[in-house]
Amino acid sequence: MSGTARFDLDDASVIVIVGSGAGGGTLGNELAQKGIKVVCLEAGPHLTLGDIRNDPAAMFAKLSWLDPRVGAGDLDPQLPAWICKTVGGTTVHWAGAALRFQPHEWRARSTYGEIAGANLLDWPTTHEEMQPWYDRAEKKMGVAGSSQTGLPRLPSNNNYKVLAYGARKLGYREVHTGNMAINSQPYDGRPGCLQIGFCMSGCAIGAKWSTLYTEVPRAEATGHFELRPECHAVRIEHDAAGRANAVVYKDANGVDQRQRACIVCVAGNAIETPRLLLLSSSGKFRDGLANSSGQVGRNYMVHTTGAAFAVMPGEVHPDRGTQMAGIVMDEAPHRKNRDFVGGFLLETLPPQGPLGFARNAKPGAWGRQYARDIEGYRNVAGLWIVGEDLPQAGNSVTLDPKVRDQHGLPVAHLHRVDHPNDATMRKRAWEVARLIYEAAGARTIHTRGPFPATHNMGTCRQSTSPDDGVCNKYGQAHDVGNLFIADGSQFVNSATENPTLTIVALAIRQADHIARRMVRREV
Amino acid sequence: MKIVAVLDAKAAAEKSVAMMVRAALSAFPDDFAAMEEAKREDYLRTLEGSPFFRLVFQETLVGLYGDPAVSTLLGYEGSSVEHGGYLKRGFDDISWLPTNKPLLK
Repeated sequence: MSGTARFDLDDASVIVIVGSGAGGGTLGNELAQKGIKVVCLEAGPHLTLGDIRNDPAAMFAKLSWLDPRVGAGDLDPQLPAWICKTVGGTTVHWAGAALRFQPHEWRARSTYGEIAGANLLDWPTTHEEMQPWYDRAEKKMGVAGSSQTGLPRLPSNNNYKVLAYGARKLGYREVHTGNMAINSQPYDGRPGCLQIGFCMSGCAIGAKWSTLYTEVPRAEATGHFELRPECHAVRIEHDAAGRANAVVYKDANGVDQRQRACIVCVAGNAIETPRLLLLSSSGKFRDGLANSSGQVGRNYMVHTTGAAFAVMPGEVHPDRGTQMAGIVMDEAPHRKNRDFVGGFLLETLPPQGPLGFARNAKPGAWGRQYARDIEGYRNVAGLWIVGEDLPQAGNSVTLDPKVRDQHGLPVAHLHRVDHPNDATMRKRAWEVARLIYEAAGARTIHTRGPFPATHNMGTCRQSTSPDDGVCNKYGQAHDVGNLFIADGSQFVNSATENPTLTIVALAIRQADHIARRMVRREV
Repeated sequence: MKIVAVLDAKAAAEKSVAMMVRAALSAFPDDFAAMEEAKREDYLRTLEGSPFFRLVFQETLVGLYGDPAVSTLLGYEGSSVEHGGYLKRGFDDISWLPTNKPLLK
């Protein structure tokens, strides 16, 4: 790493990025490639490919954000969300689904209309505007099934074949192995997928895109980018004029450090990003930094999710192969004749071992029949439901009044309940999952509700008017001109699709915006 | 049985656990072991919400299905990267499914 830069804590000409995942890692590399100096603070440790094991329990312990958080509403009280605290962020753990928003999803308020209890808004960004940035994101990430890469879709594994057979028998047509940021062939210096399985424990060969071994080392190679792992941002400071000028963080030894900055970009996932802004309240920003709208931490979305696991009449061996390379997209569009707005996707999801199946197929279940289902493990097929969930002002990330972390700071308090639209959609998705597996001959089918949230969005949303949201269409805070939101917190609605591709596309665009404004000395 | 050993160790370490287990076991019907499976399950259902049941349930779940010998027996194949993944080892070898022809054109 001879090219790795080292910047002085008092160097006020650097951009500080908090987080090294899909948003922060991508933004950092894009800026560094343009010759802009970046210090990237990452709370987690720096693992390498050699640390990745095909062991979900061990990797969960190694990768996950396990500092305390509090879940309320429908969320798991202990582990409300499952995201990562490691260099590469949640791109180490993600399953690789890389889907573009549908055109109407940039205009949710106009498309769905006024819905009681929903805090809907149109994005200040348009579908047309985003297409070139999606092109660049797909090319960067090596998306299989994208015209930007020319990579064919991944081959069909057993778990997908069960889903596809049942779905096609029902008449579904948009059924394939997905647009996945997993190399179906060698691409960009990384190998093709070997159908190892265990994608969500980290890809041991780097066939799945992760900023850990793409954006971060490339940024370092420019000589303009310094990664500081195990450096946990705790406060963003500002000058008398209200411009961000430094980030205070706890280094690996728990000692306070203060990095000066010309611009601060926050990409700590939609939980830690609003937490950091709320922790940065000051005499000038009493309700938290960039929070004059009161929207910091509000509209917390996680997608409408659930799962189905079916015991089939023959062997499936669901853990073999790419975990999420299988999708049914026919229910994704918004249709006026349904009793819910928005749409949902069905994506393959293996149960990850008999213990995973026993715990997750029907949590708390036991008895003769259930034991038999577990004993049929090799015959199990599984899928995950992911659909739009509606933003609600009361679904939120706030500072917990009681629980503090290892640094003595209030932890994130997550509150989320279903909107009636979410509950109706999930019910319909369960029905569809049952119909699909029944059509494929399932013996027993278990459906279950959400896992700890992996897609976290909306807590610092974009808006045209500073009254409605936290940042503009480039992620630039309305209240603080040199503060940027660079992760899924920017989302105005969740859309149906897995969020990573959109986060990456927005980060590439944000880097372009920042670079232009720096040239014009506007930020 | 490994699971019984785990429960014994917990009971030995924590007096309240030992008392709870002893009380629950002494309330079991005398002929529990001789009952047919369905009857045993019926009895256990009456205990479902109790702390004793929750403890035994959790330890059994983890001790049984988390045991590598058991999960292997049930068809879980474990780590694959050292074998080159499943690309050439059956990731797509499903044999019982009828051919995938769409019914609609």
